[in-house]
Formats: sequence, C-alpha cells, structure tokens
Amino acid sequence: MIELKNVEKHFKKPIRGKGVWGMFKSLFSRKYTVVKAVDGVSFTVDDGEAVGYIGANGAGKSTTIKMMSGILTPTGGEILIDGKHPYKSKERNAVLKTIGVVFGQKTQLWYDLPLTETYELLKYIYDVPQEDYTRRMGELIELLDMKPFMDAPVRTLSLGQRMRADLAAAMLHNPKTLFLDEPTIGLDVLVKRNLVDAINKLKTQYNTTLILTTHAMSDIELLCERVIILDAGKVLFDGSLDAVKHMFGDTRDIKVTAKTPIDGEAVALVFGGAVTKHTAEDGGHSVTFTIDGTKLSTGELLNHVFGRYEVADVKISETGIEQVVEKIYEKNKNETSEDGDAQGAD
Amino acid sequence: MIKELKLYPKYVSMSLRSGLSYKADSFIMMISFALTEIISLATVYLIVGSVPQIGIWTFNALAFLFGFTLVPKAIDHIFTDELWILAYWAVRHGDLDIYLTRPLNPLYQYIAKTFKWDGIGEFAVGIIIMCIFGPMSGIVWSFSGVMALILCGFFGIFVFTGIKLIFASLAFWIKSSGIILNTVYNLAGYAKYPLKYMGKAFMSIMFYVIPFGLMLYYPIECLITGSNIWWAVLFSAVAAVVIMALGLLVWNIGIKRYDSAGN
Amino acid sequence: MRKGQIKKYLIFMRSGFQTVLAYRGAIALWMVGALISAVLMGLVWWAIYSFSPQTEIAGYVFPQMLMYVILSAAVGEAIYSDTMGQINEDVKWGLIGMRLMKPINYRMQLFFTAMGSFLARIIIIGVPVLTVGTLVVVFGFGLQGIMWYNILLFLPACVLSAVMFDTFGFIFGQLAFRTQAMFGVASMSQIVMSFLSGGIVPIALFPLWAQSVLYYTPFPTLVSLPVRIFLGQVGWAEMLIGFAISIAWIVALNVLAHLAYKSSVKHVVVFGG
Repeated sequence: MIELKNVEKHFKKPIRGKGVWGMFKSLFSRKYTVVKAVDGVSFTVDDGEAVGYIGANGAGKSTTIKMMSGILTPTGGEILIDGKHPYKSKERNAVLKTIGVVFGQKTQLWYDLPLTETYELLKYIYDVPQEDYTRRMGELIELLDMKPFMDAPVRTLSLGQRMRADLAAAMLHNPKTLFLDEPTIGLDVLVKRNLVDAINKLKTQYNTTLILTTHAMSDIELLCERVIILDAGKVLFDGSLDAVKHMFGDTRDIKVTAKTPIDGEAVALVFGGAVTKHTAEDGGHSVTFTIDGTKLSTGELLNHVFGRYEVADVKISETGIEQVVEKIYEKNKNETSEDGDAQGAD
Repeated sequence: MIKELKLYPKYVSMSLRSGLSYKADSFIMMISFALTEIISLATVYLIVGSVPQIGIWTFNALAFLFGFTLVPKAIDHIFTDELWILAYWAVRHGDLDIYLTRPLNPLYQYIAKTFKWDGIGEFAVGIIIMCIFGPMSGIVWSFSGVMALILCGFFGIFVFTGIKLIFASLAFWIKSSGIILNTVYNLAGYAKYPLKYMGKAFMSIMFYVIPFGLMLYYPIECLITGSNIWWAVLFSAVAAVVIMALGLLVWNIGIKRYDSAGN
Repeated sequence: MRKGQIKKYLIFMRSGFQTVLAYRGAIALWMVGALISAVLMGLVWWAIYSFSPQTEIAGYVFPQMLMYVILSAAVGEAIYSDTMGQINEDVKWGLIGMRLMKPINYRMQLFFTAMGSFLARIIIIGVPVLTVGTLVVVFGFGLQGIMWYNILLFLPACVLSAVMFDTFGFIFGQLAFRTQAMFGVASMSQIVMSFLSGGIVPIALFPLWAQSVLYYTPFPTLVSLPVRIFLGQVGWAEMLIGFAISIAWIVALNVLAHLAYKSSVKHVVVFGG
C-alpha cells in the first residue's frame, strides 16, 4: 500500500543577478523564489490498483513520482510505501527492492553493451536468485517480444525497443509496484499501442500495482481504473476513470458542414438535453454540436443529420485532458468561492 | 559494503567492455595524459635548472617528488573520474535519477560505472620517474622509508577523491561546479614545487586547507631532510579521513537537494 | 569576397562575440583559475629568485618574470578559440553534412565566430586583467620599461596570435572526423602548443639547441612574441621580422588547413556524416 500524507515539494530558485558580478553574487546570496511543485498532496493506493496520474506540464506529477521512487526528498509531509519511507537512507534499500521505475526520457540500460549485460548487473543489485532470474527473464523476453534484439548494443535499439527493454529491466526483480513516468512519450501510434498492450499484460500476469503519468488520455483509458488529476501541485480530482468520464470527460464536439444551412436548434430539440450546445458558423452551413456522450452516441446524432442534410464534412473532437483539467479547475474555483461566501456570512 | 565490493569487478568488466569500441580513443587519452605530465616535468626542469639548488631541493629531488605526486593522482583518476561529470553535467541534467531508484548506494553506483584505464599513462610516467630519480635524489633509502612513502601515497588517493567529491557535490547547490573543482584540483600541481620557500600563507593553505602539500610534498621533504617520515604518514592518514568524511557529508546533504532537473 | 558575403560573415563574428558575453560568468571563473595559477607560478619564481646568485634569470629580473607569467596567462585565455570544439560538436551530432551544404564557407564561418569571441575576450578579460596586473607589478614590485607604444603594439601581435591559434584549432579539429577522443586531442595540443610557444616558461630558458629549433616553427610568435613586445624586450627590427614571420606562418598553416579540410570532406562523403 502506498500512502501520501500532505506531501510537499518546494524548489528554491535563486534569483540571479545580471552581469558577471551578479553571477558571483548569486553564488553566495540567499535570495531565491520558492516554487511549490507539489503542494499538500494526499492519497492512498492499494495493492494491485492501476492509477493514472495526470495533469498539465509543470503540474507536479513527475515530481510526485520521483518522490515515491526515492529520487527526491519531500520538503514536507510523508510518503509511505508498505510502511517505509523511500527517501530515508536507512529505509531506502528495503523500499527500492519492492518498486520498479521506468522513465520515458531516461534509460537505465548500459549504452554500449548488449541488454543481457544490464540485466545481469541488475540481478546482482536486486539479489535475484539465479533460478528466478532465468525463469523471469524467459517470461519477459516472451511477453515483451525482445528476442530479436537481446544481443544488440543498446545504442542501436529503436525507441520502442528501448522502452520495452527498460520495462523488462524494471520488472526483473518482481516489484510490487511499477512507476511509469511518461512511458509513451515520443513513440508513434502503433509502437505506443504495442507498449500499452505489453504493460497491460505485465499488470495482469504479475498483479503489479501501477502508477503512471502521461500526457495522453488514451494511455490512461487503456491502462487505469483510477485517475488522479493534479494541477499546480494540488490534487484536483481523485476517482474512477468512469467517474471522470461521466462528470467531465464524455462530451464531444461534432462539427457538421453541409451544402444547405443546418437548423441547429431543430436538431438539438430532437435529442432534448443530450445536445448541450450548438453553434452555427458560416451562415448555418456548418454547426458544432456539443453532446453528452453518456446520453447520446455520436452515431445517433450523425444518423439524424445525414437523413436530413447533404453532409460534406464531419469533424469529431473528444474532450482532451487539458479541457478536463480546465473544467475541474473552474468547478473547484466556484465551489471554494461559494465556501468563502458562506464563511463571510458568518 | 560486502555487496559493493563483490559487485565491483562486474562494474569494471562492464566498463572495460563498454570502452572496447573506443579502444583507439582511450589510447589517445592515455598518451595525452602521459605527455601532459612529461611537459610538466620539463617545465620543472627549465625553471629549476636556472639555479644550482633551491635550499634543500635539487632538481633530482624535485623530479622524484614530481613522480610521487602523479601516483595517487593517477589511481584516483582511474577509479573516480566520473566525479568530473557530476561537477560539470550530471546534476544540471538530472542524470542521477536511475542510481537513486536502485537498492544500492547511489554514490557507489555512480562512481563504479566508470573505470578509466587510460589513467595508467600517468601512473606509469609517475613510477618511471620515481625509479629514475629515486637513486639520484640524495635520499637515504630504508625499508621503513619506502613503506611510509607507500602509505602516504595510499592515503593521498583518498585526499584526491575527497577533494573531488567535496567540490563536485557543490553542484547540488550551484548546478555546475566544474570550473571551481578544476581550480582547486590544479592546486595539486603546485605540490611538486618547493613549498617550503613559497611563502608561509600558501604553504599553510596547502597543508591545512587543501592538504595536497601535506600528503604529496611533506613526505618527500621528510625523506630529504631525514626527519621522521612517519609523522607525514600520520598526518596524511588524518587528512585522508577528514577530507573523505567531509566529501561524503557534502554529498549526503547535497543529494537531498537534488532536483532531477533537465527533463 | 563580395560585399554581401562579408556582411554574412560579420553576423558570425557578432554571434561569437555574443556567445562569450552569454558565458561571461563561466569564462570569468576560468580566468580566475588561470590567474590563481599565474600567481602561484609567481610564487615558484619568487622561491627560485631568492636562491639565485644573479638578479637576472635568462634576461628577466623578478618583476619582469612576474609580469611574463601574468601576461602569458592572459594572452592564452584571450586568444583561445573554440573552433576545435565546434568542429567536434558538428561531427558528433551529425550536423557537419548540413554545414557543408550551406553556401557559406565552413572555415570562414568558424574563423569569424572565433574572431568575435576574441574581441569579446579582449574586452571582458584582457583589458581588466592586464590593467590591474600591470599596475600591481609596476607599483608593487617595481617593474620598469613598460611603454605606451609597447602596449599599443602588443594588440596587433595578439590579433595575429588569435588568427594563428584558430588556424591550429581548425587543423587539429580535422581529427574529429577520425577519432572520438577529442578531449584528449584538445588537451594534448593545447598543452604542447602552450609549452612550445613560451606560454608556461619563457623560451629564453630553453636549452640553446631547443631555442634554435623552435625558431624554425610558428610557436614562438604565438605567445612569446606579444608578451615580449609588451615587456619592451623586442627591438623595432626584431618586431617587424616577427610580424612578417607570423604572417608567413599564418598563410602556410592556412594552406595546410585547407588541404586537411579537403581530405576530411572526402572522408565525410565516403563514410557519411
């Protein structure tokens, strides 16, 4: 079980003076600004859960993962992994043996040597018995389809191959928890899909707890049951993936362009509350319908429109992570300001 | 500690095999280090050659001192060269992440991964120079003296490592401390000159602040004047322990401030 | 070169100037390091002079030797060009192919960048260090014989040195096409050049046979000549001959650089960038 209790991480950024003397002064001066990268985050992850940890750039998600995996020391609060602190030097090694970490942008593989060399080293570092090592290595090679490049130096691997190899390196010691920080960054669609499948297989086969940060909502949908949304170092939302979809995520914008003007109002009336918004452009030749995906499918709406108008073009856009965060942010702001009003009345 | 020792040969072998594809390059580096030192010795020869003798120091004695300074420096170079990367690059670019996620001392992992055999060039030059000038240096050799000198050299390795660790770890505060480390490290190059006559202030710095003078220069001075060199052994041992402890302390405080920047 | 081309290269000169300004903090720290080294060499010389039976060593009294050490450190820092490092970066990151295809002469591009950086180094390092250094040695240690025209003539000598240093950098830089150990090549070539050009100890201290050999090489004009001009040790005739030799070597070395570069380009074409 992973527990975060009011965790904070502040970075001090020195204020640099200008010019040569400014640089010399900043070596000794105490002036700095404090950036609160993580600002009072609390949550608990149970064994076997798969959690997507999302937020915009600079929201503090990587910082949190790095604190959970022993890289960064929290400024305040407490992180417990099965009752132990990953950032305390005496408890470090015990915690680290139970976790595996993969960074999308950094590799732990030995650059100029074949993969097996890194795995052999990790075997010793994690005290994996030879028998377990052989069996597990076999399983991982099979599962991640690594046979073709086991003997090639790492520097010759493609990014997709390297990510799979890094996954294997992180799973070698059978960790209870796997942390993935932007694992799909920079991969093209097909390779990304393969990697997500592989992670899913690993998760089901070994019942590993999964904590994952990503930019791509699709990764989360395929891998996680639970989503934690972070913004400006604070937890905005913590709940199931379905809940996110129901509350905010499942709206779609469908832009229909037809040869004759479309009567948006009439279409909206047919579906009642399921069409939440319609905006006309170009004198009604193209209309954007915003629909609630839980009440109405895209197909139903399009069928209706196709039956009445000669449609030239259709564009569908799902609500992306940025919009979800924005919406939640707005909602939270409204709630807190209401609280504030109520207190003010007291 | 036992695990670290057991793993070390594995690291060395990996590092050596990693370097196999760059064999010619390592060879050039080796030649470059050796040549640098030979020119350095020629410099001493030209400077000292302009006077018959500097107090107690003849050129032969200084050449022997010069050879001696190279040996601990070369050994440190072979084992802990990665600290330079820490100072110039690794902290600024967040390259320490992977060592911090593994259940093994991060400093050990970081240092162990690079075994710079090209430092052998400096080492060989040092030993050869000592062998040539040892008999001509005017030192009266005894078994005890040789033993003491070996011990001083041994402790000297840790002074080099410790100084590098202290100033490389400064990077945790100022992001890049390479130039500062370079400046301090270069002081070691002045332990091959007759410190005794270079002014009280500088000698005190080289004995008590950055103790390159204490562990490189002082033992040879003892051998030349016939003073008890075992005092030098004792001082070197103390200096090695203090500097190493300081280095580990600065590293340990610094690593808590590590911010994994550079994504 | 046509007028438009000159304009193009002046842009590189400006970028070299600005790069030095952008890294002025780091460069200033390097300079502090070099100055500490110069002061310590001064201490070494102080010890030597105190045991010398004569007041002069190889024609230098102590204040002159002190000034020599400071000057050679400052000249070394000021004429330093990053051309070798730049070629190495371009080769390492595979940019060289692109650079070669541009309608801009690669050598000229690097040269003008280096000249821009030299100008900036003279202004932010050379002037303050030499002013303070000279004042300290003149008033603190009684250095005599520094004339305003010597200081004035020191500058063109430094320009020639910077051009020559950059040419050497370009020649040695060609090795980047053939080895990855450029750190070794760079440190080796620098220490050897510095030693042979009188950047570490005055050439007058070398054994006579070595001196006569050295005067058939370009090295003495690199550091020794400007420093000795500053110290007022070079007569008019010797100075003119020195400048002429320096220019002749620069021309010869540039022919060599051009040939080496042509062979490197073939290497790129054959092996790919």
